[in-house]
Amino acid sequence: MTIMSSGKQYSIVNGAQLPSFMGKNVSVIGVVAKYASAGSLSLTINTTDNIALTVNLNKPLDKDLNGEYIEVRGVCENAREGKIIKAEEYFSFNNTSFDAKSHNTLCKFVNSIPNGYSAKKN
Amino acid sequence: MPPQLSTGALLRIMKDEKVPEPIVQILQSKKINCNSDKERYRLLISDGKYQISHAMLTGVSGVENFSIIKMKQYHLSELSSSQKINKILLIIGMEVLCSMDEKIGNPEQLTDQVIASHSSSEAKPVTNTVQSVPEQPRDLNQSLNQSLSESRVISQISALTPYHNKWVIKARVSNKSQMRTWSNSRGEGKLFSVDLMDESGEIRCTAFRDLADKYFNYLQVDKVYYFSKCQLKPANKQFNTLKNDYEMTIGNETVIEECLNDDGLVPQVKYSFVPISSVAELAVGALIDVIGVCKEVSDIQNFTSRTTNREMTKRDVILVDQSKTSITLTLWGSQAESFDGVNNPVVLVRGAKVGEFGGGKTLSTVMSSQMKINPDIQECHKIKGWFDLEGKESDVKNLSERTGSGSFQSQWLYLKEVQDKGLGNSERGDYFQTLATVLLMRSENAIYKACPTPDCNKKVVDLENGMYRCEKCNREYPNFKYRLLVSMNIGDFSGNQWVSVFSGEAEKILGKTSQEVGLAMEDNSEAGTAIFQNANFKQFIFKCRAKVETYNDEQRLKIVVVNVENVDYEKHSGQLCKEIAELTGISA
Ligand SMILES: [Zn+2]
Repeated sequence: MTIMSSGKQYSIVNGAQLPSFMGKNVSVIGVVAKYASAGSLSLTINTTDNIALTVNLNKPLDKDLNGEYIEVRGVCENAREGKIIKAEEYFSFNNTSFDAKSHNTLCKFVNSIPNGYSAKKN
Repeated sequence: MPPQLSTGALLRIMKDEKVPEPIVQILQSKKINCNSDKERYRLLISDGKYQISHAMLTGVSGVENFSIIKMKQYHLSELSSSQKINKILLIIGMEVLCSMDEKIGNPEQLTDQVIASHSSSEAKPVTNTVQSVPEQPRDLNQSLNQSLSESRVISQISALTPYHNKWVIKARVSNKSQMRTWSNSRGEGKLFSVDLMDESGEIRCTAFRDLADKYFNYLQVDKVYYFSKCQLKPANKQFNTLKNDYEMTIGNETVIEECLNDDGLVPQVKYSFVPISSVAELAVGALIDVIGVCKEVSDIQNFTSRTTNREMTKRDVILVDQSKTSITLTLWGSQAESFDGVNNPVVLVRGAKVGEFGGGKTLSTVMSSQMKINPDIQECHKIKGWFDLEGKESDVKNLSERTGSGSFQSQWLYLKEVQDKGLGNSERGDYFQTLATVLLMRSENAIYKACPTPDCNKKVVDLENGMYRCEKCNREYPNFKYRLLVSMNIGDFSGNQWVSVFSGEAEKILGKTSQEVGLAMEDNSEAGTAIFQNANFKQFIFKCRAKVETYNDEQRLKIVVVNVENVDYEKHSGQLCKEIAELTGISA
């Protein structure tokens, strides 16, 4: 399953699923693992399946982030050790409480159940 | 006085010793069909200490049961069957000494083991001592526990069939019924049954009449016994849900003895305890294992059953467990009478039946249920520990609550399913819950003037003279209070549905009291209408009661919202993930 943003499609994935999405557009949700001050160009997040991920931003952070959940949309540049996402956009949820368990389950479901509503004809 | 039986003679004969003209009793004779014109009988004979069933009589025209005979001529014949050699005692010449009408003594089945255990020792003087299994288990245990466990191959329960009768099983009693009595045109009697298990499977074993008395106290749940010589027959699946095509009956020749050293090879009774909170999702009629602390207990209730006209006794016990949910367990008969709820005992029920009453779930014991109080198992100690530390004080959700409010017990349905499943045809109505969006709340005719007495709420008649009349109270009041009865359309992805909402729940949706809404409508109907419009597109979890009602011979499905709750999205997504996992088989 994908989401549309700025005319692009992003696949919703967790950390463990990244190797199948090398070089593709992905949407990953995670908690900011290390304090990142405004102006930083890079972040470390822990995904909902608790895998560390480096996020390289295309513009400096506009505020300090620490312990918040954010959604990152961008291209998966490295899916092995030291996973990297080159972010095109990110959204902070402005809270530290997030149903990570359900989101992780969602990632499993959307990437293993065929989309019966898809308009695409294969 | 009848002639003395040659006690112990059969053992000696089977060991190939010569015993001149032994005196034995015929316990049973059965004519064998064969082609020769000579008559043959298969006999069950006894020497007072032992009995054998593999004896045959030829050349005579029958002999009465219990007659005492002198075996003048006999020999031991070896008959080889598939794997082993059976010895048959052929009686060729005999003399009937006298007839009797009952069995002398209580002879023990002369098994290969008994013969084997005597084969090395010298022939001992035989005695007239009569041994019966349950009354004097120790003596036999010594011999048979040894012989059975050492020399005999133990059969597996799953391998037993009616076509094979030389077996011994080593099985644990997993369940014991109460003693039941029956009475019909052919007489009356009593019976009880035990469920036996070993590592291969399970089987029901029933004892009738005097054998029921004999074994009822002897057989105890959780203990391991050796069983042999029970009669097997096809299981009556109507009463027996065990996974076995056969069941067995204890007969006179049955040998049962307790296994003295339970080596742990026979599996322990396993329970698959269901957390009480999960009972909400189970179908009525399901049999489950449950363990809970008795939080409260009702007095005993006696009543006459409307269907059977019989006197019934019951008692309700409220159980609670770590899922912080409580449920009512109904006990019947002697279990109800003897139940002692003092000091919050832990109650374990194996095979409790799930029921439903007024929209709430309940449990009750049935004939096959097994109840234990404070059983010495880990789960029991855990739950007791939990109860003493926190459970006693914590708030619990009552699954047996009748209105269906505030708990998770009613089924989750999408709105289309409510129609598709044809809900509302049961006498008390059907309860369900659904997550839906308010599409429209009708402000027209949504408020009414009601009796001002706190508990009445009846619509009053405006006498147009400043007084309001309540027909129910049969009084006139100078005032009234506003109440709500709102017709509302709710929708989800599958469809939409008109439902009715009364004051209490409508107030939660509107965020205003009925009085506030009524006054707003009275002052400025536009401001009043806005209150209703504000509710549109809000999402709630609606617990509803569906009931088909008849208006002017026309049947209509009426749905009343009994509870409105804000959506707990985390809980709800958990519920959805569970459903998806069930539907797809992909684990969450
Ligand atoms: Zn009234």
